[in-house]
Amino acid sequence: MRQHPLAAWCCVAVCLASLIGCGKANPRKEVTGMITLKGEPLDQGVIEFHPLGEGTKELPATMEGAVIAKGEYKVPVEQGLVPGKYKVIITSGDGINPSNPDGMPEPSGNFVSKDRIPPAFNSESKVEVEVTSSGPNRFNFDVP
Amino acid sequence: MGTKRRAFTLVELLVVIAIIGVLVALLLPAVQAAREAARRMQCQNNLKQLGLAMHNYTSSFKESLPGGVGRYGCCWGTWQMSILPFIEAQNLADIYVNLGGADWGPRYGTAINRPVVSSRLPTLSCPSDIKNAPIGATATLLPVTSHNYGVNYGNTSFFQTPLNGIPFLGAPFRAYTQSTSDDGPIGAAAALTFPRVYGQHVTLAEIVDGTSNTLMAAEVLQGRGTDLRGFSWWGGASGFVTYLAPNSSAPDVITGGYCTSLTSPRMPCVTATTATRPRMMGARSVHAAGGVNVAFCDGHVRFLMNGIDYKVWNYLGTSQGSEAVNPDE
Repeated sequence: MRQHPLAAWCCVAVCLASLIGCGKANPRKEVTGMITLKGEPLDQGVIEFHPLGEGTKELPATMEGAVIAKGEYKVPVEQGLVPGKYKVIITSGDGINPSNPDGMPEPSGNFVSKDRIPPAFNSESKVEVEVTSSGPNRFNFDVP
Repeated sequence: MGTKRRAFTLVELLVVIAIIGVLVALLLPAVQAAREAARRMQCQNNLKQLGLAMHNYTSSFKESLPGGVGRYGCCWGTWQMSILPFIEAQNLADIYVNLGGADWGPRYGTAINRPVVSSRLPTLSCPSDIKNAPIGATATLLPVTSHNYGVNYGNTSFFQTPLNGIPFLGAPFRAYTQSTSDDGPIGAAAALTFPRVYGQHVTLAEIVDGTSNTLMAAEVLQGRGTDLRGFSWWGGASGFVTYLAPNSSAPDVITGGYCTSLTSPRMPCVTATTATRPRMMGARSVHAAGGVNVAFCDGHVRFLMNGIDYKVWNYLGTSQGSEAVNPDE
């Protein structure tokens, strides 16, 4: 008795094919953008997106954010934002932090540095954006 | 020799090998996943032990939980030193000096306390995370270890004040409460007139949201090198806040240049503290399922997903918020 080789290879092919294509589309959205302070790209800081809506039961809204570097920020798609409205909070210390000469973590004076971003963009922020499922979700902010 | 020999043909053999190959390829990831599941269970069990230790602490100290940090801030012991006797580390608790004190006695990193803070507590180490090499060794001093658990400092920041429109609604552990800075260093003389009292003990009765609705502790990740995440012998890395969602893409704040994982997507951080983004750290883990293990104040433990409703997560962080909350919804 002799099997047809083609049939055997078909079996193998079916087995292999069954391993492919089991992904689900990510409903979260990547969010990127450029932030300028007085016209210049903001060298460092933090941006946060606080949910204003509830999201859905399957996909509740969550707070995400990103580090700002050279003006650019990016919330990666894996931890992206659920479509909906968000309050934006931007903060950037003036970067003046005392150094720690003894090398071990202990406070050496007041670490809280001055915020270069006005309250209208953080503690009293009314800046809103809407993340959409169609995208592109690129939000630029010009901080005066 | 008319009889035909019964044997497999080459093609048949190849097919069998191919099928075995496919089955092994299917199985191997499952084995790895099972290992990670086992590690995750161990991390969760550690949290259970931590919760039980806290409850044994409350039984011994007038129904109050230990302070998150010491009365004068960063460097004179955290909850981790306080619960040593309750995680079978009485020997370490016996030799630790100046717990909850100030600069009239040694700090946590002073030579006399180094044998304690250089030890790696297995109960507080999660095998899913890579152990950071101990930090701060000198010719005469042992290096200090990092661990994997932080206590709940509430729903805003370690300063435990309102933040960006979110009110601070109580926490089972107190850190740099009502601070506007990190207030230090606090010398012996300054400590006598120090205006604030950090790390006040919270009694179980003060958790009016209910102990089963309030987080007690969660996993945190250890930083790499001199990155001080997980450096929980020190106040500044001893807890987490629910201002940051589990495994948030929003960065932790570590002052003083101890953030060296700037580009790590799992644990973003910044060093500059501002009034709108004070010292804070989030609950983080590397578990493949995408979430963090948490312990609640009644001692029960569970795994919460990254995508948990931000509002619910925030509510779970408060001890006096009076919110109606069900983490299963």
